[in-house]
Amino acid sequence: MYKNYKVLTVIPVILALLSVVFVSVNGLNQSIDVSGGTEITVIVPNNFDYSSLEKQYPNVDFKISKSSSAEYLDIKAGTGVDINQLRTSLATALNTDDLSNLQYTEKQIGSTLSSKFWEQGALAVGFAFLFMAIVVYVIFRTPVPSFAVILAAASDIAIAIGGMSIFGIPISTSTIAALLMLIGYSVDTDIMLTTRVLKRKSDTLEGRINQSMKTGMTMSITTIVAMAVLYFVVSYIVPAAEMLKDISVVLLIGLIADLMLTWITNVGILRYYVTELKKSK
Amino acid sequence: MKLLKDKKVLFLLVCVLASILTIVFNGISFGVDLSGGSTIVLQTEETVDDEEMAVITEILTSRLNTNGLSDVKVYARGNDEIAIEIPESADLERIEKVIAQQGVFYAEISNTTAYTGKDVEYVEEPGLTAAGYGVSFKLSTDGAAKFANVSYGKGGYTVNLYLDDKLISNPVLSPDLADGKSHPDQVITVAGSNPTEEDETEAWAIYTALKSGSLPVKVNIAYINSISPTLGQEFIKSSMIAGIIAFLAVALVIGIRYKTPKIVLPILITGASEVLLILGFASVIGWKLDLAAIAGIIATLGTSVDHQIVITDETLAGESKKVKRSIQRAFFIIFGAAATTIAAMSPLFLMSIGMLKGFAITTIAGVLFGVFISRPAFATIIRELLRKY
Repeated sequence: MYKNYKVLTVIPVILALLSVVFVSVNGLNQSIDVSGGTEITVIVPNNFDYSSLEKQYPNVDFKISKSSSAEYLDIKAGTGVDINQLRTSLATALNTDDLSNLQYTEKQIGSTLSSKFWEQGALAVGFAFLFMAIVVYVIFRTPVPSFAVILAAASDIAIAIGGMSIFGIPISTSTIAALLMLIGYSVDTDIMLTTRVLKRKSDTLEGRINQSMKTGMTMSITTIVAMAVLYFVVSYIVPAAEMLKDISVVLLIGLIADLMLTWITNVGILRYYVTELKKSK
Repeated sequence: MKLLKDKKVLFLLVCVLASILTIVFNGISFGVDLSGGSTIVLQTEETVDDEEMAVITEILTSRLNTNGLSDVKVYARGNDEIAIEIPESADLERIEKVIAQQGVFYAEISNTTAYTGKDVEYVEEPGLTAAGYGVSFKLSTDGAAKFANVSYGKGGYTVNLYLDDKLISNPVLSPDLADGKSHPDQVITVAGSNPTEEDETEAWAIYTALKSGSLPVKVNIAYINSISPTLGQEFIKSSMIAGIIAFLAVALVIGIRYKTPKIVLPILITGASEVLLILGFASVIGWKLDLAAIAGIIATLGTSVDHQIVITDETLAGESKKVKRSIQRAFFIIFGAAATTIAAMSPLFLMSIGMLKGFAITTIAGVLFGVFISRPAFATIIRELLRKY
């Protein structure tokens, strides 16, 4: 086991690389933030029949989701659909003359905004990552441990995006927010680990790693549990608050990946750094 | 209690108390995605200077007021975006139409301009006129003179009325109006005596354009987010339920790990106090809490608990003499982690991409309050409690 740690170290990174490949093949679902268009969610009576709407608007997606107390109709339309007409048909189907009297929400993204999405999203994540990397280097001022922290964060993001691709979670402003949050959470445990291993003088290397692991696991598990609860409560009570749901899933995937990246990869690199690299100098 | 005399603990208590007082007396306002209403972002086709932007926001405000919405907020974002907040339910279809039109109006008789929107002195609300449903308006003396001039002797010609280069009406000029005298009273009809809802929307759009004048540039709708008040209430309620259950789940996890209320309670109370500090801060600066801000509060709470676990474990690990150094190391970790979080969030804040500014503000504020106010106090408290333990 001890001898094999170098092999183990690489496995999560390979997983992250596979995830990148998978995303580039499978692609990501696009929310209307990316494609432009309109998304409407409205509470409908139980067993609401929307087949006539479906027939009338073949290019529009209709989906029913159920919560403990109500049924929601989710409508996603591209930029080519006449929204005013769709609203009127929907109001007629629901026997109302004003949709805002119902439990109704609508989001519209124009093409000028959506066309800038990739550019702005990539800039935000890119700069966030760059700033984080600079701060990490300033904190430790040694290349190898800093590199380990940054590698772990990058792999977490890659695996989280891979998870989004597998589970069909669309890329949107909220999932970008989740990825930024993931950078923060991912680095927290790595900084703790690296500081303990490099700065604590007492105890053996193994002892320091084990102690860090106890702390780090508590940190990660509290966050994982909180996100799992958030996910289930939101899906169960208000499926319409999709933003919170998406954020919690992306963080869940990323944090579970982070357990591997921190306690296998980052620990492996640190062990190598302390036992071999530093000694040989 | 000795703890109450400690400066850091006292500082936290004062800040939390101040937050509670601010929240109670100043209140917390929710963004339209939680309280109900619409947010609309418009983009100008080219960048405009401050002066033009002021004209645009003024015209848009007047257009919304004209359509019966009094409590709207219209503000510029940078030099090519205008954000509009409408905190009540409203007819989106009509609003889209009245704000997105540029509103350039003119009348032509045989390709000669007879008058323009600038010559309109007074407009009446849409209603039934002698000629059908439409908008009546009055030309200024100059405008009426121009019209008299152009129309002279052109009885039987059509008067083509254009709004944003779209022909909206083309009545035939009756010979007795083409006598070269001033006829300031004009009508644009859009339907007969039984207007449909669409005709009404059209008439209101024309009325609004005539009344508020034209925008210096074309604008496009970039973003609309609208939510009915009942669903907004549902969001607030369920975010609170989700938050409380998540909090209890976290309590369970640290309860299993530390097994003593002496550690678990301070962690939870400190975490809760950070939420209060963020809410107090939002109340002071008048920041409106939206769904993104709630996500930010959840993120902060997660970081807060993580950091307190670091402090607790360092305190537990440090032997009696070395506790001070242990705590120093804990704060090294915490400051490092906080700095990376702020670094990761700052691009959102500076570039204000999409709607995530609220998220960035709450997260950064939360992290700063954490490292400077609540976590130093927590370190003192946990050290004191563990010493006696």
